[in-house]
Amino acid sequence: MRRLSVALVLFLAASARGQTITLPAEVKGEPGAFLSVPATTDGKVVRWVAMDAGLNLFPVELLKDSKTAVVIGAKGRYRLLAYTAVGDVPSSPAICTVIIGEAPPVPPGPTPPDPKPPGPTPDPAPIPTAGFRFLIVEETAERSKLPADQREIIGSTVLRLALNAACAKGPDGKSPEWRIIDKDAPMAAESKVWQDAMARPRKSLPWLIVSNGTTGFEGPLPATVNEVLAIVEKYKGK
Amino acid sequence: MANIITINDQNWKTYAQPPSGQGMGLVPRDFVKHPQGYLMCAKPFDLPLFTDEQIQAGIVAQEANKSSLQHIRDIAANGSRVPSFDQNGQGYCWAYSSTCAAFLARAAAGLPYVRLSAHKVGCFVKGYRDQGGWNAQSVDHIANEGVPSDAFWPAKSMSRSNDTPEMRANAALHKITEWMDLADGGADLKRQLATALLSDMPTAVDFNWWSHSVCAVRLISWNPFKIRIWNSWSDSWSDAGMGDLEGSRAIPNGAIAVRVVVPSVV
Repeated sequence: MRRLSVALVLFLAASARGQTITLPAEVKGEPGAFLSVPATTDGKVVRWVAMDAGLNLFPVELLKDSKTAVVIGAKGRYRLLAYTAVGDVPSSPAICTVIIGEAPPVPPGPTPPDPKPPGPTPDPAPIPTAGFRFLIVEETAERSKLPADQREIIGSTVLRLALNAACAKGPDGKSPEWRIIDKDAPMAAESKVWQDAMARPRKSLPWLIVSNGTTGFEGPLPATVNEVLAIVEKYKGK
Repeated sequence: MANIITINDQNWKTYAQPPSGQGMGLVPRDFVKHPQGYLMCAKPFDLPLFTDEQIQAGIVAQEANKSSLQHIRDIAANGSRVPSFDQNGQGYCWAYSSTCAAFLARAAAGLPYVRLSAHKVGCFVKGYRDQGGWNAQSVDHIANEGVPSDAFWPAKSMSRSNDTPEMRANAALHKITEWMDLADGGADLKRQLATALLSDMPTAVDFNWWSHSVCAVRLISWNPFKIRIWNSWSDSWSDAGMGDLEGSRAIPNGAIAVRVVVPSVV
């Protein structure tokens, strides 16, 4: 997930700009064999990230040309991400699916019926306003008591950039709608959206509220940045 | 941060003087008259303190996760780096250090980017005179009356015409509501400052040796003790306005960590 976080930051940084890099959609090979994955790009240096465990990336710095990656792995389907930059402008990332062995293809056509019985209906949106919003309610006086990994959530710029990209914009039309607010903070000067969100019942602190206007999440703040990013990924843009 | 200035016991005289056009203005706080916790709302520092091991791990984690206040500053202007403050040669460093801390506390909370105008704080506390002070004076003012955005009090302005009902109403949206007064020196102070910075709590720090007050944003090293500060001498100083203080130069003579500000949309 650390790698995924890095990829996310790069994607966000590049999304409004124009450098390009392309990879083959799929590369197939046998277990234990070296597979080459070529990149097509005008960038001079290409960085590679194996996004799934089990896919091993040959150290690119030992290769003559970073525009081709060499990977090896056991049977399975893996994602390999690449990005580049020209000048100070990073590219959008490109992703190639590496298929090793007889990994089952993605089934075509409609998704087969789920054999499992219907689960509970999705949680209602804790913030019943259109758009993705994110709130951590905390007791700042207790911040230094938090487990180290959880405390890192508060300042993580990876998370902040992901939220900047995913969240609805506030009344000024440009500020992303996410907050990290002390439980005792006076809320009279905030918008009603946040006043209402802060007034919702909580069972513990720190507490996380994520909403996309249709459904969402409410619960104790997860233990790590990556777990929070997974929740953001699950609910954003729906 | 390749060109960042590190001020230590060997070179501090070289860096003690402000660049041309800049000022300092610290008046040392008298801890006999104004002891720790003397302000109305200022509790003495009360966070559980980190152990040496937690501090070392926290430094590594903040670097790995880019989670310090320095990193937050780098993206706090709607994804871009926030320009440094500029005290414009006046002796208002003590107003800027606290305003900077309030600004960073807003950024840490994810509140909309609003550039705050520290000159209002200096002008109000000192009756529009260009005079020195210490950070607790400015924190007290920001807690009681707030600090406006520069849309209501232009940066660097000392004009009385800025004092309007609209400006005061806007300032009230940017108050500090919780902060902690750190110890008056000693080992406790160092550990409190480390705990605050590793908890992403911006801390206004006064340095008598420098006659200057700045905002501490990051713990760089525990042994030797080294902190990163955000100065109010514009982006042209050191590396984008930030520099490092090391050893005895990094031990403040009065420090206030800002924990909570009024959440406001503007």
